Amino acid sequence: MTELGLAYAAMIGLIGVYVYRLVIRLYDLDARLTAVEDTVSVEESE
Amino acid sequence: MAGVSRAGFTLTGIGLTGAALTLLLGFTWAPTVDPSAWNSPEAYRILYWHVPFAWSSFLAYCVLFIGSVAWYAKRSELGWRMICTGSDLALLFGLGVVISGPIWGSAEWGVPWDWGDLRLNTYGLLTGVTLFLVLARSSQPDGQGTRDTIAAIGLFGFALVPVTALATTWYQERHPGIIVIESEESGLATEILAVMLLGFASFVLLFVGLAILSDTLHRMESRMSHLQHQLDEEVVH
Repeated sequence: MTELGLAYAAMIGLIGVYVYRLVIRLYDLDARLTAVEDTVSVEESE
Repeated sequence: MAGVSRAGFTLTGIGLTGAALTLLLGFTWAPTVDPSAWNSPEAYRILYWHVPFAWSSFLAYCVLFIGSVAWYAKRSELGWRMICTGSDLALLFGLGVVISGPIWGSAEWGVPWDWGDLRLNTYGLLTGVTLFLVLARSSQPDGQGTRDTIAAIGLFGFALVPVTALATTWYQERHPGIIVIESEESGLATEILAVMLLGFASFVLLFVGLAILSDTLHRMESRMSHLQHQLDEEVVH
């Protein structure tokens, strides 16, 4: 059972870390992209 | 990103819930296997996630292959994003298989790895190729030369997929055979197969959800790069 617990802990950890990092990067990039698009649209209107 | 991401988040959430349910049923509802046929009967419960992880990694290699072909045929931006998404997910699911398999092998076989087993070794090589693809993407400057090289290696990696998938049929060594199809031979109960099929469906949904989110991320990165380039051009001129 120890091996089983270790194996599942490894797989849950991998999925958890991947999903967490993906979601954090998506929200971070979305905020940065919105800021850059706002800058570009202001410059174009000027 | 709202509409596409909502679908990605929903599918990822459903997939994760199904995967958790698979784990719960695998531990509480599915019966144990014949103790005389296995050295470590309880450890067999690894297959509820280990096998769907492997299936999902093969799906990821298919995405990688289609992306590589699309990149070579049309220099398609979608093809490149498929290479990025396919290699990321292939590494995620491949690492899960390569880490969990030897832990189970230690319990069942007494050794974590068998260097004479075709499936283990080709799968290990496949995961190594995927690790190279992900590291190369993040360390090399993005350009046509880098993309060509990565697409070529992606095609080579995909060639290993049928060898790995059918290795236990062609060249049986230690790794168990295709247990869902050969369930009568392997002596698995119907409850075990039902939980495995739930696991398969859950991981397919999880895979699709993660693929959508990953593609959204790569599309946004590409858009960001384009806008930054545009701003740089405006500053220079």
